[in-house]
Amino acid sequence: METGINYDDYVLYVDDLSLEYTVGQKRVYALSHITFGIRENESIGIVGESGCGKSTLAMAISHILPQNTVVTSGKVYFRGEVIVDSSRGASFTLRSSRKADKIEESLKMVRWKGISIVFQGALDSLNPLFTVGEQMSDIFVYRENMEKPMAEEKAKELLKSVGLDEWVYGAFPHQLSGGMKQRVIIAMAISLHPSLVIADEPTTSLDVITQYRIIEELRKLRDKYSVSIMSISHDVAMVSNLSDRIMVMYAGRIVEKLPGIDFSKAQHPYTNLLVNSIPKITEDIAHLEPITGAPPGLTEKIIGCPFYERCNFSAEICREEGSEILKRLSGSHEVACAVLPYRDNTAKLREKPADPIRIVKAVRQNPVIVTRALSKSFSKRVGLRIRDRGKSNIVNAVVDANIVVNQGESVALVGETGSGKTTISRMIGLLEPPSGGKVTIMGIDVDYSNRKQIHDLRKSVQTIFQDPFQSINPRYTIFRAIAEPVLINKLAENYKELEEKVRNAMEAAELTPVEDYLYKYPHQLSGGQRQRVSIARALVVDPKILIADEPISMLDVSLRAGILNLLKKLRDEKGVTLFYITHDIASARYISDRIYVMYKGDIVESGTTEEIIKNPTHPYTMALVLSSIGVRGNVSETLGENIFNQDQGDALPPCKFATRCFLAEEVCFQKAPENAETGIGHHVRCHFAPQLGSLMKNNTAAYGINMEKIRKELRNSP
Amino acid sequence: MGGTSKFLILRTISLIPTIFGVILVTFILSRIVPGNPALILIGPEVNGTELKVLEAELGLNKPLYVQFFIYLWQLLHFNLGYSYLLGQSVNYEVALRFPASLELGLASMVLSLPIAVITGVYAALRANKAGDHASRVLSLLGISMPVFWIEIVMILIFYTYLGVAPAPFGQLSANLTPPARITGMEILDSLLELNFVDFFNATWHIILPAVGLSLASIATLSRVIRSSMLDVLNRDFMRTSVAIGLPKKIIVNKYALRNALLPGITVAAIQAGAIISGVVLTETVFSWQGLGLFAVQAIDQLDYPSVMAVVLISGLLFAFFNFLADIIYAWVDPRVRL
Amino acid sequence: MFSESIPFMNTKGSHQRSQFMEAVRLYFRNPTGIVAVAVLMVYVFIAVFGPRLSPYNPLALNLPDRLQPPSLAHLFGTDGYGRDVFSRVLYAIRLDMSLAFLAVSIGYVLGVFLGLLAGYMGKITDHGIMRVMDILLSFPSILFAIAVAIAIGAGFWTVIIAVSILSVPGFARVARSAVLSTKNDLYILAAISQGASRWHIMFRHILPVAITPTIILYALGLGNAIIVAASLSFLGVGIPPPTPELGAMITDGLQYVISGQWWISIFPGLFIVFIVVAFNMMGDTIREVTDVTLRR
Repeated sequence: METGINYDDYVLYVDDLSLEYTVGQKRVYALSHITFGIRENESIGIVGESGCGKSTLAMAISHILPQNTVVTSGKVYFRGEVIVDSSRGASFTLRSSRKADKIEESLKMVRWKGISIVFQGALDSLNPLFTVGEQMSDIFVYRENMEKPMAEEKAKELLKSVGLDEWVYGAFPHQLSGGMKQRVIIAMAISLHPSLVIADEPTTSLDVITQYRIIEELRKLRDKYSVSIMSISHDVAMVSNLSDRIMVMYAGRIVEKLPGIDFSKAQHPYTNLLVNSIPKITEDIAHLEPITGAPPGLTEKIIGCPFYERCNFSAEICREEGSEILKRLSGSHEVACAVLPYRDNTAKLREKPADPIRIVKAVRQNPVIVTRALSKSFSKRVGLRIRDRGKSNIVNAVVDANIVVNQGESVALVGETGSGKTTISRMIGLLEPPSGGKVTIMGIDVDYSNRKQIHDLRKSVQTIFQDPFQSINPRYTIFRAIAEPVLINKLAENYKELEEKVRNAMEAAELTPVEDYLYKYPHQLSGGQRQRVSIARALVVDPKILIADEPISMLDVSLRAGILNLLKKLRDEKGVTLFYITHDIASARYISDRIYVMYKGDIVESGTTEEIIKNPTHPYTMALVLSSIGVRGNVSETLGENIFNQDQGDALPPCKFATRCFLAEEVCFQKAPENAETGIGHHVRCHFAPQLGSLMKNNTAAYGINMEKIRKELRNSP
Repeated sequence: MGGTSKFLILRTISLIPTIFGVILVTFILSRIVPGNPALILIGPEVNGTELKVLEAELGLNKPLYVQFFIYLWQLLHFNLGYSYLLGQSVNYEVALRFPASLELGLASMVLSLPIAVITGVYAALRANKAGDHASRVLSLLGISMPVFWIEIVMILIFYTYLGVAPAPFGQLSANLTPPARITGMEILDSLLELNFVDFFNATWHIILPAVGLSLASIATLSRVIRSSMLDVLNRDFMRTSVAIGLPKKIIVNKYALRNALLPGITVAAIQAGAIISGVVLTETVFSWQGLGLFAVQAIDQLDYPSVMAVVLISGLLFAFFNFLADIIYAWVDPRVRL
Repeated sequence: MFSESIPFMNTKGSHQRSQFMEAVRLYFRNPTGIVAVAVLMVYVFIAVFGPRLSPYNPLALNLPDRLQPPSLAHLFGTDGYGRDVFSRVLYAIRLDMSLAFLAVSIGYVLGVFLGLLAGYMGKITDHGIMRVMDILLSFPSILFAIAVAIAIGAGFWTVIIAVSILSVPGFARVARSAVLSTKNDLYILAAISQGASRWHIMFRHILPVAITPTIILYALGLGNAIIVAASLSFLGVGIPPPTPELGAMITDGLQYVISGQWWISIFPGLFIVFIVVAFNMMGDTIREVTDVTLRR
């Protein structure tokens, strides 16, 4: 490797680290020859898909891998001291042995005082049986030998520093929201003033806007304590938001080290494909380039380039080279590609006939889904939670939703967790009766108690569910899963006809070659393939309407584009009406003609995709659009601190967004806003809609909006 | 926290249907009993009118539901029924014998809980090593041996051959004067009386039955603790604790153990039922003068009201242990405190 | 059990059979599982051919030969009435095995049915059924069996009724929770959205899920049944003497333990332990194997 590195210059230096572990009888080559360094107060980001070894890397550095791991080469230095090597390993054990105790003793100043780690917070990083306060103060009690009262004081201080209220100290983890838990963990991570904070998927599974809050929190922390940050995520936007420079991981190795966060400089084909396969809200993209195939399993030693099979530029040399050795391109830009094709082949990539940018399909005004004043309320069981004591036991999941979807149209419903979007999809999908209002599907007023009618309609309306791991019976072969609807509806006369239908559906869902999949079980397929099975199963009954409920949110980044393209194709080529439900406004932009935005059961804004993206008018839509742009700005600077304020309990003001809104005035807390039309087909439910509408027009697509500016202009306008 | 008291109240209320159910089932079973209780009482050679009179006296001519309410009414007044054979209320005998059973049951619980937790944690930390395998084999044996049989084996070894255990007849050697009755539990009574001869003798006597009785519970519980401990060790928050660098003792004994105990609490409640059952068998083996032996003797003498009284008490006691387990669970796990 | 009622589905990819075969294959690669089955085979053999193998009449009194220690003439010795313990054990195994299988099978059918019903119907049906189950569970097992036994009188069928009633709640609970854990799974929702009927969902999706855990419980239940049956007879409310029954035989020997005539109690007990260990090992192995086939 490189010589002459002064390890003392780095907070952390990972030198040629390789790591293996055994699962059952399989050997997994989790990391191969990883080399990089992090300097004082530097923030680096690592991007990679699930299974690329990025979490293993984080845990190896923190020395918390399980016992079955072996370090096969390399070392990790922390401020010049070796903390991981083949004799010390990178794992921990709770069993006492002389060797383990010795290693643990030597790590005393590294654990948490040197390196701390923020795990994905919505999972269970906090012990469910102890209060937040106890878990925090124990850090001081057992690591700093502090007296209990003083430790408590310290813990409370820390909570305050990440913007959490006093009551959080005495709360149990289950009483906190995902974003709050994550902030608690950030507070814990900084408690002993470490030199390096590792953030492992710190924003995954949080809402878009909450993600921003966490990012801002981490940024603040870096400035305040001048720590180094190593953030790890599959989310390219998030990582580039937080870091000075980016590394890309693939198949257990680093394939590219970018000099900064500018992905347009990327040289490795994988990096380029990864970035290009993500729909972006700022660009019109006619066709996303999906990455074909799946990442290699790491159960065999890979010789040559691990991306070989999926790469468009692979050459003979890639079979031997391009694996682990990074080539230096310039100063700090290193790539593991042996052919370095992209720069030279830029033209080749662009040569493809450029699709004309977004033709809004001429849609016949033939509504196939119409909802009028559609509402759904659930009654909570009395006395289930402390917090609802005595308060209303009714939750209004959806309130007076009016949605129209025309035949052949692709319409998106965008909203965060708890906005009621899935409830709407269930009602339109004939899976749940509404508690108020009316649903008309293909001209038929749906009577949810009429079993015969529902049964007949179901063939025309099919739903694709969010979780591809749950939506197929694990005991069924793919063939049987797809054949099931045919059998239920008795659509085939004999086995031959059945098989033909299944094959056709599989081909339509691009599950080809069909033979490869027919008799496999769901667990043998990747998430993307399973989602294709779900789609094939929906297509097999030849539906007119396809409801896709967050079909890509649980898939790996590189597989998402494929599913989006497939849905798009079904709409464009088969004329299927698409009702797409998502939290990701960027993907809605990619496949939808029109967008509805939902907030806490209300539809707050609707209009053509163009209108919504370029002239977001409702403050909530602005927040959504802003946070999905992923620029290095602070959302809170633009939209005010209140935007993160999510814990309002059950009592919502008449305008449900008022507590988070930077424009909120007296009137918002007194009466509910009406639906106002600010453009053709552009409806906004906000008191300031007319003024905002004209204001936003002037800022078209610049997103240079600024809270102060908007406020000022609003005040000036009559 | 207001939720805690609310939970306590709700859980207490939910005891009522269980208790009612236990009473109802006992009542039904006691009315299906073969033969007319009146007949059993006065023997078969009586004339019809005498029988009628007696039936009326016992309330047996009333409709069933009335009989049930009478039964309930009596129970509310702590009247467990009349034993025709004893010639008196069952209450007296129950009060006399209950402490001995309680002593035995509690002793085996006190024995089994810590042992199970310690061996379970030990096995989890050494999963798939020799110690773990040994504990697996032992616990498999433990749950597969009938209580009364392993106790017989123990008597054979420790009394008959080694002679280190006392003769398996009762709670105290026959040549000693039992302590004055305060609680009815001889170990406790002798200690209160500072009668150390009796105390050590009683303790000596209880070792074998208590150990025999607790073996199955130890086996079951320790496996449960082991597997839940293993689950906990793989949870994310354990990684956090390790990364923080907390001392191993704190990680295991504080953060992991409390989580691992949760399933143990539920299983311990079920084991309380097994121990109550086991008490009956153990008392038979060791001639332990408790309720179980009383019931078995009553069976032999066709004294059904006595048997049913014991069944009822055991049901209520078990319901109480389940209640206790739920309370403890809620105390340990904040998530279920409503 | 898993066969298809839709005829043309049988030809290819009848995956459940293959998954079932896979589980069977894995089971027989597991040494614990093999030992358990071997022990069970021996017991079944004894249960079938025991009477022919037994050297003596199990009921024949032979007072001059009483309390003989094990010897070639009397492999397991003789009891207080001079009856040959070995012959009695052979007969008793037949009795206890049929008791266990009958009782647990009845409990299985009843319990699984009630559990499926409760879980799937929900609401009042669920509450009603589970309340009754709770009440049955709220008695310590032996005491409940005693109550049943004295209510309807000791005997073979009494033991069966008592043991099967005792095993119903366990099966019901497991079956119910299998239903509840799958009832809201997305693939069920998907089937509903395709127009599947309740029966279709019940038999094609939910029942197969309930089968695995209840089969494990069945194996464990057999072991438990043998212990409960023996306990009842030990207490004198099970199989009445002089019929040879393993538990009752232990009682027979109880009074001789102190004087050192161990064989009367020990041998019958050993035969209980062997088969119960085997049943427990079987249950554990099935659990391991099905975990693997499902999770892979």
